[in-house]
Amino acid sequence: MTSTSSMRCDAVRTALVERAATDWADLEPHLGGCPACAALRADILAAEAELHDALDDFAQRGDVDAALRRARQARPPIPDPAPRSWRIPIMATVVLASAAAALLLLAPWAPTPSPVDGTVGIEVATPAHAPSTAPSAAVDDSPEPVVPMPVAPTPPHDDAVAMAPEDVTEREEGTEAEGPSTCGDPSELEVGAMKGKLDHDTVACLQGLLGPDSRADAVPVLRLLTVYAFAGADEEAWERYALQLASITEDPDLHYKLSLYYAKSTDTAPMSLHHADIALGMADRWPEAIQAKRVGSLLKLRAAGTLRLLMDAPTAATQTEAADAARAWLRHDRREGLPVKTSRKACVALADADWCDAD
Amino acid sequence: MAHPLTHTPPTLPMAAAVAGDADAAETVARHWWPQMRRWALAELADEPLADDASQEALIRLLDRITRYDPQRPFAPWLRAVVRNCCHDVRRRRGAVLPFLTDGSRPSPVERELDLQRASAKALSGLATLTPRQRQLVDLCDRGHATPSEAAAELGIAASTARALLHQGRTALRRALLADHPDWSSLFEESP
Repeated sequence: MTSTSSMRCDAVRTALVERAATDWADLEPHLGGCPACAALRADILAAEAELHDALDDFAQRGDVDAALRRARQARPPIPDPAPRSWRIPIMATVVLASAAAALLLLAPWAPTPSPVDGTVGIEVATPAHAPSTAPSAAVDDSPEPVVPMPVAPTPPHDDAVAMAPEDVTEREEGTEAEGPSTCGDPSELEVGAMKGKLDHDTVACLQGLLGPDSRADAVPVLRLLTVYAFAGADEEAWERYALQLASITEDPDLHYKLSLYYAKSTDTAPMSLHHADIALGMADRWPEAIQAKRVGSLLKLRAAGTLRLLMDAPTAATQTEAADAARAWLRHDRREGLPVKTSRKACVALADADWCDAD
Repeated sequence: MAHPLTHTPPTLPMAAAVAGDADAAETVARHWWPQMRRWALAELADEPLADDASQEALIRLLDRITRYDPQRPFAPWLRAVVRNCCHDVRRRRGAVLPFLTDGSRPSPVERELDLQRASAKALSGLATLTPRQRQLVDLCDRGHATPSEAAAELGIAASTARALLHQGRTALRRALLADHPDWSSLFEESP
C-alpha cells in the first residue's frame, strides 16, 4: 500500500473531491503536512455544510399547520396525465368537436326562451317565416316559444348550412327595407330586423339612440340591433351589441349564446368561460323544463374551454381547471340522468377514474 | 444505527394512522413534515418546486397512509411518496418550462443578489446533478445509507449506484467550489 504521506497533492485533492468525507482517514498524514490540501478539505466541508444548512433551513421553514390545512381542503390529488397524455388530444377532439357541433347546429333564427328577468326583451308576434320550433342550439331539442331574442351568429362559413334557403334568398334580394324606414317604436321594427331588412337611416337612427344616459331605453334598441346584425351575419356588430346588451341586462340566454360564440377558438376561450360562469350563476332563472339541459351545455362549454386552455398552456393550474370542469360536467350529467359517456371520458382523460367517480 | 431523521419514534401513533384515524395520521405527518421538505429540496434543488412537491406529498401521505404496511420501515415508504411527487412536479414543470422561460430569466441584478445567498449558491451546485445523482448523494452522504442500501431503495443495481454516487459527489463538490478563487483552476486542470 502506498504511503499517503508521500502521495502527490493532485492525487490527494482528487481523493478529497471524489470520496465520501468518512473515507478520508488515510489522507490524514498528507493533510497534516500540506496546508493547501488541508484548506481544500476545509473548503469542501464548509461548502457541504452550507448545502446542509440550506436543506435544513428549507425543511424548518415549512408551516406544517398551513400545509395540513391545505391538505384537509384538498381533494384527492389529480394524477398527472403525462403518462396518458395521448388521451388529452383525443378527448380534446371529442369534447371540442361536440362544442363545435353545437355551434354548427345553431340556426341564425334560433329562438331562445323569453327573457327570464321580465324586464327586457321585445314581445312581438312570431314572424310567419320563422320556424316556430327550431332548436336554439344542439343541446336543446324541445320546442320552445319563438321570441326574437338576439342569438349568436354562426361563423360566416356556417351560414350556408345554418340559414334556411328562403332566408338566404331574401337577404340577397333584400335591397328594399320592409320594416319601417323611420326610427320609431322599436317593437315596430322587429320583423324587419329579423329579416335583416332595415335601411341605413333606420340603423343609424337606432344607433343614435344608444346614449350613455339611457340604459333602460337602450335595451330594446340593442335587442333590435343585435337581431339585425345577426340576420345580416355581421359577426362583429353582433358581438359588439350583444356585449353591450349583456352589460346592462341580466339574461342567462344571452350569456349562454356569448359563451357558445366565444367557444370557437383558444384565443376566445377565456371569454367563453366567463360568460358560461355568468350564465350558470343565473341558471335558476331558466324554466325547470330546460334548466338541466342548459346547465349541461354550459358545463360542456366550460369543459371545452378549459381543455383548450390546457392544450395551449399545459400547466398544473390549467390541468386542474380542466379536470374540475370535466368532473363538474360529468357530475351534472349523472345527477340529471343524462348519458355520461362523453363527459366521463373527458374527465378520465384528465384525471383518474376514482377521482372522477368519487361523490 | 438508525439516523434520527429517518427513524420512526415508537411514540408516533402509526398503527392508528394506518387504521384510518385522521388525527393520528396528522400527528405522523407533523413529525415527518420537515424531513419531507428536506427530501423534496434535495431531490429537486429548487425551492418553489420543492414547496409544491412537499405539499403534494403531505396530501398523498394523509390520503394513502392506510396502504402502508407497518411491518416495513416507514422512512423508505414515505421517501418514495415524496420522490414520486417530486417526479410529478418536475415532469409538469418540464411541460411548463417552454412557456415560462421566454423572457423570464432573472436580471443580472437579481441574479447577483440571489448568488450572494449561500444557500442559493449551495442549491445551485446541487442542481447541477442529475436527479438520480441527487438521490444517491442525499441517501448516502446525508442519509448515511450505504450504496447497496440506496440501490435497493431506488431499485437499481448496486454497481450502478456506486458509479452514480461517485459521479454525483464529484460533480457536486466541483460545482460548490467552482467559483472559489483557490480551487477553480484545480478543477479546470483535473480531468
